[in-house]
Amino acid sequence: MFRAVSFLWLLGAWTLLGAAPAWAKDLEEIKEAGVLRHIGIPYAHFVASYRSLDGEQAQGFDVELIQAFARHLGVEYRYVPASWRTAVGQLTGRHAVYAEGEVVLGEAQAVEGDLVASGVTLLPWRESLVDFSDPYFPSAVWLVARSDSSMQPIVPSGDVKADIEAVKKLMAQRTVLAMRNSCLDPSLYQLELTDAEVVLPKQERQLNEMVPAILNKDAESTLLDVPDIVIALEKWPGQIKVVGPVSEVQEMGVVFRRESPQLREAFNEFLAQIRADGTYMALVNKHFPSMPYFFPDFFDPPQP
Amino acid sequence: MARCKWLHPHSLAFILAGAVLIAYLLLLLLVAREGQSQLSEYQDNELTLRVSNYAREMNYFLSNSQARLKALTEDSVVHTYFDNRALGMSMTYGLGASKYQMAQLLRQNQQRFEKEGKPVFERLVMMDFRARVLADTDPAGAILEELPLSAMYHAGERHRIIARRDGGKLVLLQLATVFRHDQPQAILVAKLNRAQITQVLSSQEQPEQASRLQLKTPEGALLAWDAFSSSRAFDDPRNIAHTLPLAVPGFAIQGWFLPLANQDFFTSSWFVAALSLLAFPVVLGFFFMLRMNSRNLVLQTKVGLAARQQRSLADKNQQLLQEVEKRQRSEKLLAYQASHDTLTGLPNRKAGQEALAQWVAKAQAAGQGEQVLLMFIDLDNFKHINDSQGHHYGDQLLVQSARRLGEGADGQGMVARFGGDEFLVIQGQLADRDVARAQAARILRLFEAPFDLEGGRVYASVSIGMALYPEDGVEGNTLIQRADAALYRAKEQGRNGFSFYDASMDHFAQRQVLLDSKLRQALEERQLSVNYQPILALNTGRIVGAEALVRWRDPELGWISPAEFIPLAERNGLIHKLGDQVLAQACSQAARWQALSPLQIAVNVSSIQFRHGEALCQRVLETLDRTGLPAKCLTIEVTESLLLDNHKDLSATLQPWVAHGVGLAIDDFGTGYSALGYLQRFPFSKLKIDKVFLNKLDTSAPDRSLVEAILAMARALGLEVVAEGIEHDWQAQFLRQRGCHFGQGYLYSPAVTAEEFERLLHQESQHQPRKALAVG
Repeated sequence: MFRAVSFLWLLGAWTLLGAAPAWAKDLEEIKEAGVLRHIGIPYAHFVASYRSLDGEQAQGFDVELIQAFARHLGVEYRYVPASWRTAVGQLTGRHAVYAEGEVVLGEAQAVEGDLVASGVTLLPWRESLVDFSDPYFPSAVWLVARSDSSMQPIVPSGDVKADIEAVKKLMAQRTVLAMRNSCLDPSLYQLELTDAEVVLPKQERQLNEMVPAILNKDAESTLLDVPDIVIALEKWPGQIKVVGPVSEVQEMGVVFRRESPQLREAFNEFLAQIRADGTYMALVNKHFPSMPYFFPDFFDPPQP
Repeated sequence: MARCKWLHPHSLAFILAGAVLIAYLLLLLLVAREGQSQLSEYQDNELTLRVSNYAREMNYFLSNSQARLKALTEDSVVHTYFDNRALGMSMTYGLGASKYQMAQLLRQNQQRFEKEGKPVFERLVMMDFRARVLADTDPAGAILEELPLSAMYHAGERHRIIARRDGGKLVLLQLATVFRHDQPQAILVAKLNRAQITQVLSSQEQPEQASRLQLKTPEGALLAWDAFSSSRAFDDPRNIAHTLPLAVPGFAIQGWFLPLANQDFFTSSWFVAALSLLAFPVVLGFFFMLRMNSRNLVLQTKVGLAARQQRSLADKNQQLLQEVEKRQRSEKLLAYQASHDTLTGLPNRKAGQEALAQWVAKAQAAGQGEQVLLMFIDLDNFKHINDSQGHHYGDQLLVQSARRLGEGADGQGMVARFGGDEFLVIQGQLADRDVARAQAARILRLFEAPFDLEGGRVYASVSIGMALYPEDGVEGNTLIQRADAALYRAKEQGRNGFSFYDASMDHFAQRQVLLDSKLRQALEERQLSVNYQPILALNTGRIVGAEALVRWRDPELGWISPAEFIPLAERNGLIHKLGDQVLAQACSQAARWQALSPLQIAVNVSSIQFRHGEALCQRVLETLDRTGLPAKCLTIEVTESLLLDNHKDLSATLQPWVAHGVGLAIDDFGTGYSALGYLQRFPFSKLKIDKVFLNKLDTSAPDRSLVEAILAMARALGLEVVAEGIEHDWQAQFLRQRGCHFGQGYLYSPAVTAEEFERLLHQESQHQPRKALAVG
């Protein structure tokens, strides 16, 4: 997900440069081609890719979601493996890298996919750069500490904002592991305003390497996104504890090219349909069974 | 009179039978009574066993469900929850996930842990010691109260089974404590499925047997089975009752069963009366049957006789039919045997000839342009394989060869075994000679692959002679003779090939026949003479030996070349006699010459003679003995083909010669398939370089190198070398300079008669050696 941030920056920067959308491909062309190409990057239970005799295959929540969408459109599904570095080029048709906080645009390349679905977090300021679908999954960032830490988990007050304040107060004089350019970027949560001692890894890490890092005593605690926390709690029982929230509920969306509004519209309709007929919840229960417990409002919104 | 005579013994039989019947009835009554008492004893034992079986199964069922509960309390999912809770995590932030997992675990186990298709647990509840429910598979179920939580916590008890009334219904609860870091954390409560208990406690009951079973608990009894009718209460004191306690204190199995005595009918007076009355009609019936039987006796005897006669007639008919069938079978077999070869299953010589005649007749009828191809095929080295490896081996080779030929004919022609290792292939409607050629080449290829025989693998090639109807003959026998002649040509041309008949072969064949008879006569009359070619020491020029060479002059035909009559002798088997005569002449001559000069005599032995290697060996030794020639003065020359044929145990065969000091030379070295391995494997003392290598010594560098190499090799192996066919001084000089010890050739002397050779020896003893000094 942290890489999603960097590639969205890229995409934004690239769009601002005003390249002509010569590769524009919307719903009609996709139906004509008969195949929907899903760009995915391995992340939590959203996309897990593996190599098989038939090439790179993938499974996970987003894979099944987009496969169902392809069936809905009446086209074939194809998985396009990507890394966060290459996903931009594969979606937009122009290679680009992000280095030292700057966007460097590269050679034009063939468009390889029609959408990116890989647990990409949706933030208001990002929406001005690319198109997102309606939110299809919730997330949040919590503070996780080693179990031997003297930081005690907060007692929930019922108000997330108050809980966040309580957690930030606990951070004072503590080492907190975070990561730039990701959803764990300290600046997203104004950690500079706390007295926390923010530790940034020298090398680029994967999100699933944050917990091993604090177990390795790189820091006493770390920021971590909820999908990864759920996995970590099963993987290292009794070795880590959740102190409390650092962010309010965040939402994830499927990323579309600016030039494919009809495809995006079709996806939103599809999403509404599967949420209504129960298919969506079946998918959630398969891949993230405990998520509804933490985000009841997202999965079962109060009736107006 | 006659009637009285046969009635009397039957009346006696009747009285005897009546007595036996009465004794039988009495015995029946006694056995029935004994059986009754044993049955009752058996029932008591059986019921005790049944109740103890129930108790054992119940104990097993409870310990099994307890083991599953224990496993659940130790599951990593449960531990994770309690660990995370101990770390103070809140439900909202993290702990909720662990709790969800734990509830999921309990739900899965409640649904999936089954016995005979039914769940064992009706409900699973995880609660802490303050009776707060942490997970429940049936949240809508009754609230579990008054559990002995505190008692179990303080006693550190790991499990317990309790019974309790739940709205009047008795339920069994099984409790297991969750421990984490040796501290009791919570209790897992399982409500046992009542249906499982009734199932366990009624598994051996039948509805028609009155019985009742229940599980006694401190809270009352749980009824599992009741088949007592309303007419008699289960707690009637006449019933059999058993109670057996279970491993769980306060629990027991109780059973009531209707005793067998109530069902007893064997000993009732009605039964006895019925049995006694039954005796009368039986006795009467018996008597009546006897009378009937005696009246029909005469008729039965007649009928019986007729039936016996009929049966015997039928038997004879059957035997006749079998005999006819047997005859037919044996006739068929005879016909098959008459026309087929028993070893290979192919048509035999006679059948082959008949078939050929039919093909020819058919072609004649078809008219102009119709050709028939006859192939005469012979295995090239069969005799050798058969002699050296044994008949069994040879037979296998024939069978496999027949199979290959059959595959090669491919349904187009006919394959027959002509005899020995000779086969015929007949093919009609032949287009032209090219097709015949292709066919022959195909057959040769069939024999390229080795034969895997029991205990070894051999290569066997074939030679093929072909004759065509009508070109080469219009009669079957003529065709066979001519194909045979063509085969002979093919063999002459080096085997593993094929040849068509042509007219010149007739002449050749006639000469062969003539020579054959002349050679027999010549051997009989000892007309063959032996000439001797001197062998010289190259450095001194002195005669040190001679090679014995056979010569034949026929009074009518004149001189006949050994190249012609030796192969003939090898084929017709005269070679053994011929070899013996030459050996005897050469040895006795050499023995005489020893007085003049110590000479080595070299005698050639054909590889055919080695087919009876041991006898040959023996004869050579006998000849030495008889002529008085010292063994060390004799050298036997063999060709490389002998080694190539690779006789079994050849090395062992040669051993007695070596032991006696007979020298062994390899002739024409380098012209055949020379392999250095031979030189090492067999006890050679000499090798002879063939003259073809000497002819071009002056012009051909490869020949020079070859001769040098042979000499060097011989030196290294300690072998003496004789160069054959030396005709010029420069050849002798070359050889001498390179360490060749001995030589023979026209430069010194051709092969000469014994008298001439003797003259040479005299001459040498009087004069200086001739050529050697001149070139020295």
